[in-house]
Formats: sequence, C-alpha cells, structure tokens
Amino acid sequence: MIVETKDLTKIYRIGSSKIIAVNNVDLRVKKGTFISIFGPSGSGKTTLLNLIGLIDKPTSGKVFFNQIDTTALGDNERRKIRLFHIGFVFQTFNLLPQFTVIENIEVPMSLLDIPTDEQRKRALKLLEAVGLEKRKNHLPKQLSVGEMQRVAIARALANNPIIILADEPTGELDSKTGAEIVNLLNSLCQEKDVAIIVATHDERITKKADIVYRMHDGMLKKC
Amino acid sequence: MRITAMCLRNLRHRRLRTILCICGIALAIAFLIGIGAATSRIIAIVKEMNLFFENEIVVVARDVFVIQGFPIGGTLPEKTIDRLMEIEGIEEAVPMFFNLELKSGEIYRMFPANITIGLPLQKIPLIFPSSFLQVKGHFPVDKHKEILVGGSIADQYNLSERATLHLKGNNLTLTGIIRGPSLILSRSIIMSLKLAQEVYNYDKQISMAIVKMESNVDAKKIADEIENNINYVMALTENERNELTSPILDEIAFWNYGTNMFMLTMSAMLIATVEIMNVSESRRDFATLIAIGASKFSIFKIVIAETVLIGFLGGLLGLLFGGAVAVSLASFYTGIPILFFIQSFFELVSPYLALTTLALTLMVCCLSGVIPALFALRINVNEVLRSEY
Repeated sequence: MIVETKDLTKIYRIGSSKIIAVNNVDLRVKKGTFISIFGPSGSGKTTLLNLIGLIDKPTSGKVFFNQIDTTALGDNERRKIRLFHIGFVFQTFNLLPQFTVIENIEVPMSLLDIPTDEQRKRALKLLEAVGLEKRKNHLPKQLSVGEMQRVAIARALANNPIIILADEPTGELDSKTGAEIVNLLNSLCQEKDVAIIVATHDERITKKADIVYRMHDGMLKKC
Repeated sequence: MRITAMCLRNLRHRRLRTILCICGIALAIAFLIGIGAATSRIIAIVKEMNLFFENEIVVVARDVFVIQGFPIGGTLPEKTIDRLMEIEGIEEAVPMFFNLELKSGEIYRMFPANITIGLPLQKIPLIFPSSFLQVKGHFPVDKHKEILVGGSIADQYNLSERATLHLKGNNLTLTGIIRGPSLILSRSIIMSLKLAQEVYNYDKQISMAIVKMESNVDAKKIADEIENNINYVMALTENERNELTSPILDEIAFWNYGTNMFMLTMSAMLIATVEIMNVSESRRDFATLIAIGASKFSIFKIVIAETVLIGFLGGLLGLLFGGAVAVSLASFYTGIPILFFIQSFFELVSPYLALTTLALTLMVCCLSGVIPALFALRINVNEVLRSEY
C-alpha cells in the first residue's frame, strides 16, 4: 500500500459557518492502480487530492505514505515526500510561463539537484514519450492546451514518482484531446508502474480506471 | 534550483516595469555619486588647505571669511609684516598674496578655476610641504617675470617649461610645473609677491601673513598679542581655523548623509513596491513550485535575487550616470574642460565612493526585498491553486 487515508476529514470555517469538504474518507492506493474519483464540482475532490498530496493538512484523520503517518511530519518532510514521490497534474497545467517546455520538465529535477546533463537526458526521454520532442524549446504560450497538458504530465513524471495526482486533467480540453490525454496518462503510468488518482467529472476517465469512487458532499463511496 | 534563470526571466517578462525601476534606482545612485563626488572634493580641498600652514598663525584682515588657511577677499597693507615682526615670540612673518580666479559675475562658483599665490620667492619651500611641491623644472628666480604653475593648468593649456605666458597683459616665463598630490597646487600659479601685486593691481597689499613662532611659545598667546597690537587684523591659530571650518564640513557631511539616506530610502521603497507587484503576479508560479516540492526558502531566494539584480543593474547604471554627472558638475563649476576630469576620473569619483555606493545599494535592495519575500512566503498554496482555476 503506497497511500492510505484513515477517517480523513477537512472542515473549512467561514465566519460562523462550517463546511465539511472531506468527511471521514478511508482510501487505500496500491502501486500501479488507476483510481478515478468522480463527482460534481464542490464535492470535495480537489480538497481530497490536496490532502493526499500533502499540500493541505487535515482537520482530523490520517494520511499514511509508505506506512509513514504524514500528519505527524513537519512542512519540510512533507515537501520532500512531494518532491520525491508525488507527481501533480493540474487542470490549468500551471506551467511556468517564462521557461521553455524542456525547462519546465527539468524544474522538479533541479529541485533534487540532479546534474544538468542528466536532467536534459531524462527530460528529452519524457518529451519523446509524450510526443513533444520537436516543441522542446517553445514557451508554454506557444503550445495548444492539449500540448500544455502533455508537458504537465511529463513534468509530473520527471522525478519518477510512485503516485500521480491529477485534478481535472481534461477539464480544459475538448473531448478528442481529453481522450488522448487520458490514454497517455494511463499508458505511461502502466509502463512505469505508477499509481494514479484522477479527480474528474468526465465519465470517459472512469471507464479507463481500475477503481472508481464517487464523491458527494465530502464523502467517498466505491462504485 | 535555477534561481538566477528564473529571476532573470521574471524580470524580462515584466521588462517595462523592470527598466523603469532600474532607471529610478540609477537616477538616485547618479545623484548620490554626483553629490558625493562634489562634496568629497570640497572636503578634500578644505582639509588640504590646512596642511600648508600646520602649527602656524594665519593673519588676515578682520572680519573676512576664512576657509582653513585661506581668506576669501579682504587685504592687509604690506607694512603689517613689519609690525608683526616687532611682536615678541614671532620668528618670521611671510606675506602672501592670494587670488581666486573667478570669472566676473560667477562668484557662486564652488571651485575656482585657478588660484594665484604670490609670496617672496625664497620662502616658497618654507611655506609648502616638500611632499606637495614636486617641481618639474626649477623654482622661479626672477621676481619680475618667472612663475610656477600647477600640473592641471599646464596640461589644460599645454604648457611646458620655459613657455611664455600672457597673464593680464604681462609676459611671464614658466620655470617649472608642480606635479604632486595637491589638488590646490595643481590649479595654482605661484609667483613672487611683487609680481602678483603688479599683475592684479594690489600695490603694497597682501591677503594674509603666515606667522612662524619661536619654539616653546604659546600660539594662542601670540595670536591674542597680534590682535591687541594690530586692530585691523584677525590672527588665527591652527585650532581656531579648524573650529571655524569644522562646522562647515560637518554641515556638508550632514547634508551629504541626509541626501544619501533619502535617496536610498526612496530606492528601497521603489524596489519593494515593484517587487510586491511582481510577487502578486507570480503567486500561481510560486504555489506550483511549492506544490511540486520547492522549499519556501528557494521562493525567498528568488524574490531576494530579483531585488538584488534590479539593485545591481540600477547601481551599475547609476555609477555610469553619476560619473557623468560628477564630471559635468566639476567642469561646469570650474570652467576646466570635461576631458581633464575624464582623464582623472578616479580622482573625482574615487573607487572607494563607487564601491561603497554600489555595496550600499545592494544592501538596501537586499533589505527591501525582505518584505516582498515574506509576502511570497505567506502564500496559501491551496487557495492559490484553487482560486486560479
């Protein structure tokens, strides 16, 4: 088990009102599995991904990462887990606009102080894998949305993570490009034996997933 | 992490804002350098003046304005020297004529173009320290026509030994050129007292007398004695001259520091404002970097590096502008061609002044980057990633 959550709860307080974004979620993620979390906007999918991705801290409950209780860890240890073991794919890609395609892929590797030659080699391989080797010196603004998401996927895989968290990866894409991105994500992760959790309200993704969960009002149910 | 690449590209991405900020800092630094060079030159000249008459009493006309050893305006009858020699404890009194070359209507000039010094020829080596009076050629012998000139004047007018000069209708022969570290002597024309009186039409008049005392005599007592015996003179000991001048120097230094502080504070506020805007626009990038594993310290470093880079570029540009300002100011106030100040640029803008100003700018930029950097650290990654969707 690479990730496990126990009674995971996140409550936001806005003034006197209380919003339960994630409500007692228990989730177990095995190596290489493709999990889809399906649900409408505001159901708590992004919050759950942020809790699993150690970007946010739960109000109660625990997140175990490789059997380590991450709720007891400090910010720096949580950051290191994100850097070494987790890849993120965002709905709006979040590529660094001032860096070229290849440099965007190299950013996570540079955070690990990998030698620049090695960074370049690995980045080129990943670009090849996502079919963008000819666009390596382009800036993100010179790419189509589908290409930007491919770069984001390559960046997520840069440090050989054990899990990829993708938040609405097809949300900004048309149906054809969305399907291509899902296939790419699925094939790359199978090839590299990486687990994926995709938060989506796109039913096409759920068809590709090994396990599908439905999220509603912060509660997670297996379909 | 590629911090330098990141901040360089961030700045290039917002090039108009960056250029304006750099120009703002450059102007402030140029102003600092220009004012700093001018004030440090004034202070250096004033301090140098007293080196000529160490441990001696300077006698000038009562109520004239005196900067260190030198009176500005006012004359004494030459016979004052005889009266001074009658006072007990005085070993020697050397008459000196002193004229500042200020063009008519331009008495506001800060630096006189030339200084004419007239004194008995045999007393020249006694009055000026030998370290300052390094003469290429020989001292004047003929008191009616021979003169020495400072190196700066000789260079300006392309004069060499034995050259003939026409000064106010007089044909004078140049016997030597003063080469040495003295700023004053480099712009001086030294001649016999008689010749100076003739050239400037001050018959039997002198500007001042330098009084050398016998050993073991109290300078203050002698000065009082002089003032009691000769009612139209002011006798100033070295301490009194320092006391007269130090408030002026302190005032100059105070305004110089005040201007520096003001300019640096304005620069700091400008950089901080621009950088806070940059950080606000980079919130999404920073949040992404933190999400994928960048430490908050690297975000801090990116912001500080940006401010230091702006400061460095602004500082360098400011040094260039400032040098130009200093040279132009010095040329404007002396009438000496700009080329001469460019040749001796580092005498005007000392490397110490340039380096300390640059270091101070970098320090201020670094400090002014702390507020935007802390602002960047307070980013709520969750909120930013979510709200930007």
